[in-house]
Amino acid sequence: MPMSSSSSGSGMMSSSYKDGTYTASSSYYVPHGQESIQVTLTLKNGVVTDSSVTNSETNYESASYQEGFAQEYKSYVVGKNIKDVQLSYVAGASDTTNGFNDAVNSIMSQAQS
Amino acid sequence: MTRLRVTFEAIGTRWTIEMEAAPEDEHLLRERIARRIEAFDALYSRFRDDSFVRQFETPGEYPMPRDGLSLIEFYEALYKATQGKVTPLVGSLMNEIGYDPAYSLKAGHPTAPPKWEEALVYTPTTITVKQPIVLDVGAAGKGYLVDLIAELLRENHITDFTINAGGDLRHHSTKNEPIRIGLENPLNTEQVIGVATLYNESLCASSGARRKWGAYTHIIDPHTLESPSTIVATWVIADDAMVADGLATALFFTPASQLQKQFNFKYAVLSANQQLDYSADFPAEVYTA
Repeated sequence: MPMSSSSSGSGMMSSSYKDGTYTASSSYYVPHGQESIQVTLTLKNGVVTDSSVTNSETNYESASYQEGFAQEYKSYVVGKNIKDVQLSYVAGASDTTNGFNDAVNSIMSQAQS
Repeated sequence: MTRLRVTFEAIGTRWTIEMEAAPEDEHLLRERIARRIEAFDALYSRFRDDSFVRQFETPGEYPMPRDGLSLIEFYEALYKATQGKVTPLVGSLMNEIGYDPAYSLKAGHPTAPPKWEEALVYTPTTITVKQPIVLDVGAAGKGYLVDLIAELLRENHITDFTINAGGDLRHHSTKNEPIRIGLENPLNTEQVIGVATLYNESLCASSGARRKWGAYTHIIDPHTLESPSTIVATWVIADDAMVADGLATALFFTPASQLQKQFNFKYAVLSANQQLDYSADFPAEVYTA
């Protein structure tokens, strides 16, 4: 943060900052991606009279995060085609056998008839 | 020693077992694995008229199967941790919504299954059924069978293997060789939303993607009588496949933070809006927009 404040009480230090509201932003990387932080300060007579900090991580509503349990991450995910990824196996919905697949096909065709 | 790959269908899904074994042992191993699976299926399957648990339609006292105590104890812990949302008594409801032994997939009139305390009491040697019940151990049973097959392989001196029972995996390695597991996108099964690294642990996935008909999937809430729709897939890593499997189902109903009070595991939960919630220690590269 480029800002600092100084006391105007003694009058010995004259502020070189104009009164007003100043904002600085920065972004940084964490394991799951990028976060950002924004700081807003209000200066009057060289004294910080108001400040606020917004951190994108405060958008997380995870109960576990708030309750101080083991940390959790959230990300919006997209799919990549399996043939483009080097894998040993895929884990997802259990493969069905022909018996089940036949049953689904049967009810689908009944629904369409 | 060579890399053997054994594939077969069992308990309603496709299995692949890759292992370091002597080629001349393949036939014997296949036979032993098949027998172990058949013994399990004959005890616990909801889909066979002749299974041990089908008898529970008639109240009475039954002997505890030798491998039954671990399974029922885990189910009891899961039942309590999920406030009854994961229950082995869900079989009656599954039949009613159409996921019955004939796979009729015709939804009838769904009703809530009985509470555990009203239906089941067990000791290490007995199971007492107090009212007619339909037992379904799909939530953790496949994972438990994976653990039992892993035990069988170790008894046969196989130290390096991966069991993959339709996406429930257990990995054992004496070399420093982890495996890469794609996390299947439930909305497009030709894709993965990330890749997890597995080493000497179990990973189980749960998703309604392949067993879906009308408004239902095979995952059903015994209190609301509906299939969950906000969460679309879960993945859990734990030492035992039984635990990973049961918790993968539990995460559809109960937050991870709640389950973490009772169980030690790593997890990822995918919501319908494509948001993935995952523990800081879930060992995966996740694909983000």
